[in-house]
Amino acid sequence: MPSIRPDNLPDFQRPPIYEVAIGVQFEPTPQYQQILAHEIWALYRADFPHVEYQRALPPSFETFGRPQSTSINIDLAGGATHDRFWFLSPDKQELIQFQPDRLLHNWRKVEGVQSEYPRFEKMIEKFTTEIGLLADYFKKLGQQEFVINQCEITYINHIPLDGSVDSTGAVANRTFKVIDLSALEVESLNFQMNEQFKNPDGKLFGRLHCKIQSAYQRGASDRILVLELTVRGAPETGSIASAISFLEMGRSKVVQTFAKITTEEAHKIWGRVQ
Amino acid sequence: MTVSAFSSHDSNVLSLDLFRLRAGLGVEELSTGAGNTLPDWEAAAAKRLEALIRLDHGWDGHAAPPVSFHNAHFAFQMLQSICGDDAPAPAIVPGFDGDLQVEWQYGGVQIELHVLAANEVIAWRGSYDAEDEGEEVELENDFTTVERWVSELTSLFEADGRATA
Repeated sequence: MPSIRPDNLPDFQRPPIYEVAIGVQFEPTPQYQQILAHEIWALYRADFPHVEYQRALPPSFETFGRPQSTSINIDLAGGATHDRFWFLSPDKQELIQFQPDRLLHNWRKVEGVQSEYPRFEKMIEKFTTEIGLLADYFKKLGQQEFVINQCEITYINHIPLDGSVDSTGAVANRTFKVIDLSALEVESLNFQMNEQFKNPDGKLFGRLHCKIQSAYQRGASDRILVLELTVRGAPETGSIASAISFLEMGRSKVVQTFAKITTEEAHKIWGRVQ
Repeated sequence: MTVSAFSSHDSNVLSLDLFRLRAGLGVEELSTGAGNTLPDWEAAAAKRLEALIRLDHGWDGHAAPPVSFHNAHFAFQMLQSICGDDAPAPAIVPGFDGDLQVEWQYGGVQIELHVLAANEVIAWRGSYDAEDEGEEVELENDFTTVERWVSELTSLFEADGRATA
């Protein structure tokens, strides 16, 4: 069933989105080995004909108890490791990331390519198909259930500065409700917060991570502020339907948080229509 | 073992990361940032878990596999939700099916966490000497109860340390 945008979700005509990633982590299939990676690429190759190699990501789980750091993760060394493959679209704006326990679909702005963010509904529709293809492959290979144990959705926004070091505080003040730097001359900025959330039964199941950082646009001297919002957690069950439901919830949480922590002045620049 | 910034995206920026701010929000946590040294229990647990995922198949003399990569990572993140910086390092022992058990034993109190799989843990606190059976709970990803158990054990551990110092 196609994903439908919730009626009450804030909407912007020109959101400062630079990259969106949606993904799942699942129990690896013991029978799969890296030599079979070409069979995985074959599932997606028609739309993603380019391939790149990256270092694999360590497994990540949201757990609850003591407050958690937002940025530290441990990577236990377990001997030989599998690559993380990037399967890229011809214009390299979209990519599928695959490693034996993860599948992600990213959209990102690419220098010189003129196209708008395709919106979540289109991305999740494609991703649903992509997970289904992978689940079918692993079920045939391993003769066992495909069990998803974490879901993740990230929105990365780039907010340009006015060009000088002095503009960091001024732009942050104009853009974010959560930061008041008016009494300071700020050179750079690094702000993080987490929020955990519960299902209707009061059970904790996910966390939102918010980061605001000073940065340079890579390959350019342009200074920017990066606002990164991630929702990660365990789906209610290990099924694909449950994971998609989590990602839809996560998207709503990200968009609502984006609207809550940013100012009306910034909303006018981004063309808020709802 | 490496400690790294985790990212599943390519945000295409170079971070400056020069200093950090606090804002008056009702949020769960404000980060102390990357680059901190690990508490003693974290370093010990990471080293032990690395050894357990490198066990040979059949390490028990039969057909037991090593501790699974996912179970080891889940156990480590579970411990981060449970242990304060001063917590005593737990013993970590492999199971026969890729599972593992995390254990503390001090002052007559025993805490055992059996990690069957990610989001599937049986936690028990009691004493082998006591007549009652102790407390047992089945947990998924919320370890608030065990955090309290370990916090009480840590206080006991620290009080005894002060008394003997």
